[in-house]
Amino acid sequence: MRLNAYRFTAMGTPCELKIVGSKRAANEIALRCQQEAQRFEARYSRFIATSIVSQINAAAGKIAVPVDEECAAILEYADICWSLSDGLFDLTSGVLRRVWHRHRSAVPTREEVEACLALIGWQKVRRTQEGVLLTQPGMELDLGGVVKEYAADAIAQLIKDAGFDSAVVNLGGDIYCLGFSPEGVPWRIGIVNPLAEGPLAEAPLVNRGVATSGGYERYRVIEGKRYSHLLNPHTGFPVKSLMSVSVMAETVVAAGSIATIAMLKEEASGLAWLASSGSAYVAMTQQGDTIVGNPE
Amino acid sequence: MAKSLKSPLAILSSAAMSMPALSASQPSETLVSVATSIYQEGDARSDAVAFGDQERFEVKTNQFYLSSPIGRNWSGTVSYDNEAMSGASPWGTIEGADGDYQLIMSGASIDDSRNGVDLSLTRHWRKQSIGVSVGYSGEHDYHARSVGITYERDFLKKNTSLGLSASYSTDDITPTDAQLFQRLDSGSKHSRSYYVSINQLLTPVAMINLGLGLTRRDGYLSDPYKLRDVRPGKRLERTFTAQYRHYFDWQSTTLAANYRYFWDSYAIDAHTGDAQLTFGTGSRVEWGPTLRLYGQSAADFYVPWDDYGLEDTIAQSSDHRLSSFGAVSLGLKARFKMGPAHIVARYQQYESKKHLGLRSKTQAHPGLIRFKVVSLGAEYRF
Repeated sequence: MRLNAYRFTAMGTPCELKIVGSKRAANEIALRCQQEAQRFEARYSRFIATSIVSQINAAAGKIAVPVDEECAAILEYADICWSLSDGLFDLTSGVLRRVWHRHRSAVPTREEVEACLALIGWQKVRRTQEGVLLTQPGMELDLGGVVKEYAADAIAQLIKDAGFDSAVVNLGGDIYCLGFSPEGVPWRIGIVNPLAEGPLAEAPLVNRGVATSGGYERYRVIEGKRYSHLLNPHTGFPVKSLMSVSVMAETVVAAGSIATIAMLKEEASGLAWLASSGSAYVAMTQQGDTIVGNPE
Repeated sequence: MAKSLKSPLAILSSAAMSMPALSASQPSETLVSVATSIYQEGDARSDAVAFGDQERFEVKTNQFYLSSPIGRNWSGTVSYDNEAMSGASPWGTIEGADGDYQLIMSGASIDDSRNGVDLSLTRHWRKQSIGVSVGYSGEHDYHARSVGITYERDFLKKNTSLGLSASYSTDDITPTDAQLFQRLDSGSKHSRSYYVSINQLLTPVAMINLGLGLTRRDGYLSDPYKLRDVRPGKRLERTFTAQYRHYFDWQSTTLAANYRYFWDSYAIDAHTGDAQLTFGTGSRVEWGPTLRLYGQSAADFYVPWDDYGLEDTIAQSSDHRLSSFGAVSLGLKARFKMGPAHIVARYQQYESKKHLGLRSKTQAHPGLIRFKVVSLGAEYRF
């Protein structure tokens, strides 16, 4: 069996597919996967004016926007993440970017942050039969924390439904491994080491996903100090969390939300969350210590 | 109760599985399990036995179970179990010289085995499934065949699900030594069961399930091995069940609490309550205790000792299971996970007592049992 590899860009991130099978069949499904990734982007990107997310944001404080079953399911899933994380995982917290943007030369003032906090709160999102309403003008929804991971699962499912039993879907580091590699062994996925060249660890994966969340990838330097791009929706300030977290789970979306919630907590409580999450994980602390938990 | 409540991983995984791209409710993995268990009844007290052996039942059971997806929209299960039974069972009761009831036991000659096979096949759609099942169970003197159908449907983003099921079974008995002991040559009974249940996810960490069941049995419902056992030929049984699951962050604990109320046309009322705690849910070792409490009233034709003065068409039975009694059982369960392989160990001890029964008027039945069950199993998922 032949290993076919494809690269494309979608959802603002490089994507890669590896599909084991005949070239012709793999080409056909790879194209469908790419279209599916682009569909997710068109539908859920907050940068595309016609997306459902942009429509909901534009109607904030005014009217409820009807959503389809898929969007409702994504919001329902996000609701569960919000409850499980005591409100840390909050799709409305993106407004904090207005004061914590990368061109910032000074730390935001308390007043600036508080003005943003007034617009944050998943409990202020009303989901009814009529649709989704952000109850205050100026509120914003950002599905970035769920959609890319969910898209990786959905694309892997497309490949599986087309009859393939060996493939890797990688959407900007959110990875699903279907079946075994052509050598008949688990796929081996390198976990990024934020501090050095080469992988931090290698995860053997069969029918599982891995997602990584790290404050090291995207951060801001303000007045010579490094600030994580991960912002606590309760305080409005960056979190002093772990350096990076990778989580392995049956679905990429579950792995991604467990990793994200860990990164939204302070280092110690992030580690405690991971330990109790039931999932396998690799975490790196700010001191550079690597912690491997619940190995499979 | 597939959507059970466990670790954040389990909660999020199950939530993810209800999203449209992943929402085939078909099982996504194959499970093979084997288990062996020993059920051992405590011997009858010597002063409770007027005649026969004191050694009560011992049952050794081996079980095999396979569940697997078949193609894209189907799944199937196969289960097989084999039981080897030995020991003595009560034939009847008599009134002893001091007014106590005593047991007449069989000799410890019962040595039988039972084999059972059940097959099921389910077709899954996005929000509903329909399954059919057939079963057979056979001993040298007993053969039972059953068929069943189940329907499940999810509502409201899978937070609510409805289950309906119906089954029919027919059992034939041909008692051994029928001529020697003037037992019935052969008899049969038919049972029809209907069950409706509703499952509701209350919060991401709490779920409730309510169910109503109805079973009608008719035919030969007596115990042919008792010296005198005449039971009404029709029985209507009703059950109400409530199950609650809650996940707590503390020690990753899952609480499973269940209540069942049973009432039937024999005038038996029974309440069962049980609770199981599982610590370390989702981790490599899950373990926890179980407690079960049971209490029932006696059947309206229950007699403490067999009355041979009555005509053998008049209902009477001295079976301890039809007396007023209650029971307490305590158990421990542990699951050790090594990747796709799990080892499951269980221990349970059970003791029945007359004073835990409902509306008890008669003396304690001397045949009330206590038993222990030890079981060990292995599971593999792929």
